[in-house]
Amino acid sequence: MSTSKKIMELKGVHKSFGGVHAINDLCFSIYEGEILGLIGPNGCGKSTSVNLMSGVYMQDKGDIIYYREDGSEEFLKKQTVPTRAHMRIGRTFQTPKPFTDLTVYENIYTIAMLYNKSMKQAKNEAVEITEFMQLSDIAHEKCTKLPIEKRKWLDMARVLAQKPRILMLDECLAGLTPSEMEESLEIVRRINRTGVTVLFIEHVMSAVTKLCKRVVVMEEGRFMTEGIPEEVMKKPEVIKAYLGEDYQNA
Amino acid sequence: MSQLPQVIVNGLLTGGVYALVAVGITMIHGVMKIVNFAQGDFLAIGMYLAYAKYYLFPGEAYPYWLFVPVGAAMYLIGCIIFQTSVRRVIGKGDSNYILLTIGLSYFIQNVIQLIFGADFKNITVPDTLRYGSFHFIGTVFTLPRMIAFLFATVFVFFLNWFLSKTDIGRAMRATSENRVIAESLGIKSHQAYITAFALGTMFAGIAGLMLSPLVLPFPKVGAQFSIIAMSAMVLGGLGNIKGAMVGALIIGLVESATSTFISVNLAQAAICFVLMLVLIFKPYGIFGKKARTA
Amino acid sequence: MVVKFVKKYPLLLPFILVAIFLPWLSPNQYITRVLMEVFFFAAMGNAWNIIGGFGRQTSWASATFFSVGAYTSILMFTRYGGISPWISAILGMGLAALLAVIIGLPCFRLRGVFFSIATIACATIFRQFLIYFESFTGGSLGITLGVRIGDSIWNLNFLSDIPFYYIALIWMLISVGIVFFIERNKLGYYLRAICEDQDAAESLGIRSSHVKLKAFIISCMMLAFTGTLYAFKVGFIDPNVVASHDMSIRIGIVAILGGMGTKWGPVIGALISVPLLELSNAYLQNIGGGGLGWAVYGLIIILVVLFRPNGLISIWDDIMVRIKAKKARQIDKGGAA
Repeated sequence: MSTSKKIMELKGVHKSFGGVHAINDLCFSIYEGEILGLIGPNGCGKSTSVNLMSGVYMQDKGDIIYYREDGSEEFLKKQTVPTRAHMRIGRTFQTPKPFTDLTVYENIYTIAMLYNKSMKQAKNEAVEITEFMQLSDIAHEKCTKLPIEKRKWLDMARVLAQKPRILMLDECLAGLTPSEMEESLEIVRRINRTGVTVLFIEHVMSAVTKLCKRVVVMEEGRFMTEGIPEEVMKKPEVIKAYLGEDYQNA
Repeated sequence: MSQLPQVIVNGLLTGGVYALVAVGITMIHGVMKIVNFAQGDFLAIGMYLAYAKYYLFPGEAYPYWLFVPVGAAMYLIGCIIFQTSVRRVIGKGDSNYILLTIGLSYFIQNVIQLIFGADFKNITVPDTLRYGSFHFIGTVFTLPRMIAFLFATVFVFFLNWFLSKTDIGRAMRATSENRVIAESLGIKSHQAYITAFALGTMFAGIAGLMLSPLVLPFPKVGAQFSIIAMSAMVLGGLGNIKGAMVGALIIGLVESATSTFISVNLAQAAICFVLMLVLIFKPYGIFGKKARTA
Repeated sequence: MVVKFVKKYPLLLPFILVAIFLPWLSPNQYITRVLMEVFFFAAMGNAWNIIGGFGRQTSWASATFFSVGAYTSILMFTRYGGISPWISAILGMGLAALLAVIIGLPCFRLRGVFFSIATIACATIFRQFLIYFESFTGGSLGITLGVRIGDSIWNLNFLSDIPFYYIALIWMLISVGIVFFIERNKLGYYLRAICEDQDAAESLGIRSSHVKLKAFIISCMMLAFTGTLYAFKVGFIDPNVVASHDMSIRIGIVAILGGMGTKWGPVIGALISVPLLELSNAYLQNIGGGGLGWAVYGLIIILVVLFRPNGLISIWDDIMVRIKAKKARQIDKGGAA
């Protein structure tokens, strides 16, 4: 476990859509510098939690607290999505969303422009990130024909241009082959080593065990349990929740 | 203020006729997700068809009996327009159909001008119709408005019956809910589309016919009705036929009130203002549940 | 740098040269006048393109801003002591920017077709108010500049059309320059990002409403400036022309016909649509009740949408692609042989 400084905390968060109570008294914390796994059966609210933290949805009740670098608390509720992005809260989407008409490099460059004072700085940063994410060989191709793992990496590359303090990856391994998954995991580790806190939402248990020192398990919109992956996987209630689903892969 | 009951009556009666146009544009949007900017011009075609009849076969008569030939002609026109152009822009993004229907609107307006000339036309209806009225609780119900309102009501009820009781109608509703699922259940979406469009065209044309004793036709007369139709549709909530009816009544009231209490020249501005308010504060319409974003 | 530029746009240099020397090459004042209108519409098409092409928000309120510029300058000149159009143009642009914020803030919350509908609604409200407040704006009759004598750049009146021709040409080239600049800088990239995927763009920190508003303000200021130039060229404004839905459509069509989101599309669009309307109004006015030109306009719009949704400039792009492919094949053949 890294420092015991929190970076994000959810306290008693509730969110309903129509009649569906998607998030039900959700509480957990994310500590600075860690790679936290967020797991749970399908539909338990993992993506919705990310949407609540990033501002796509606003919670009905409860607090979402973001702790800045200086330790001050920011209660997130009405802040818009771009505002939260400028607070250096970053996220990717389950289905990659590249700016298709732009090239790979331009995708990254566009975001770098937002966070750098001069165009030259933005250009340099974009080049650095392109190299870091191993996208240099396709840097000047348009995104329309990219294979899926490159799209996922591009999503990550773009978020890196945001200089995030916390990065929420929503199922970034879905659709990848095992060797592509290995590469992606290594990239996530590298990102984490630069100091970025990672919230890792995944179904692929083997990846979670390899990458995360701590996991939080959700069920039906609420916190079920947390702990070290190997121990958590063995807990009867977790196994029950999955009903043997992905546990086979662990 | 003593004018209030009259204003309300006029507004509701005119609103009833607007419902025909509004229901048409709503249906077209509901089934194929296209806002038909030329809906008002379809109304103009109906009006001019009525005028053409009187021009070619002069003689005083009530125009309402024309609803069969005009309705049939409009349905056919709708099918032709759909087959040649509209069908190709379904599902291809907003700007395509916006441009297409605006282009259509332009085209129709000017073809009308080519054929009939740019001046205001007059339809010779019998005086008993034009000036007929009856009084009720101190307000005047003018005959043309009453008849138009009754016709419109009958048509809208017919549409409701059609949508809920006939196979094609149900197919249209299914397609509007979810085209992919509807198709996988065997519904031919093309049939649903073309029927919806042709019906929408027909209703607009019949509305034009109904309004012919009340409004002087000129080539661009359709433009204001396109705005009225779109406003009613947004007010009522997209894809919501009953909502569009209520929306049309509200538009009629707004128009009537503004014309009487402020100025006839600001009536359109008032309708647009209401439209803006709805778009900003209640984009789902007063009753609508469907999203305003596609 | 200039050489690279000329190579990339091979037709540009001849076009500019012809444009510059045309008034002397052709003594026909009519052509000069038509080309002047082409340049004005090309500039407005470029303005429209900033928000409509790059931002994919089809606005049908262009005429509103065009008339703000026109009315402001004419009113400043006739009623408030002969103020030079160059100065009142600045005021006009300022008012246009303000109006752009007032109209843009509510409208940009709406996506897709609802934005378009909202712009039509705002334009209608503006037009009716413009005509309603007769004492201020001259109502339906419009305003005239009255008789003006002499040559004066300061007051923008000239004995012949030729100086206006050059002013229009320069303004058009400036407008292309503005689009060029936007395309290569932050605003252009942000606009395209929002266009491609607004959710992703926002999650990365792009404030889409700010960006759209900025683009809209620039666009509207350009429209207003053109309005000033136009008003002083023509000498009077008729609100039923200048603030009409027709005018908004004409402006949008220039960009759509030529190619949305491209630099030269509006120029091509104007080069085709303006003379088309002119010629048909001049020669075909007597067919039927008139309006053949506008009917053809409508037909062209329909045909472009159905068959060339990327605009006419895509024809040029296709030709370029084919030439390049042919050259590549020839090089291969040469290499293999």
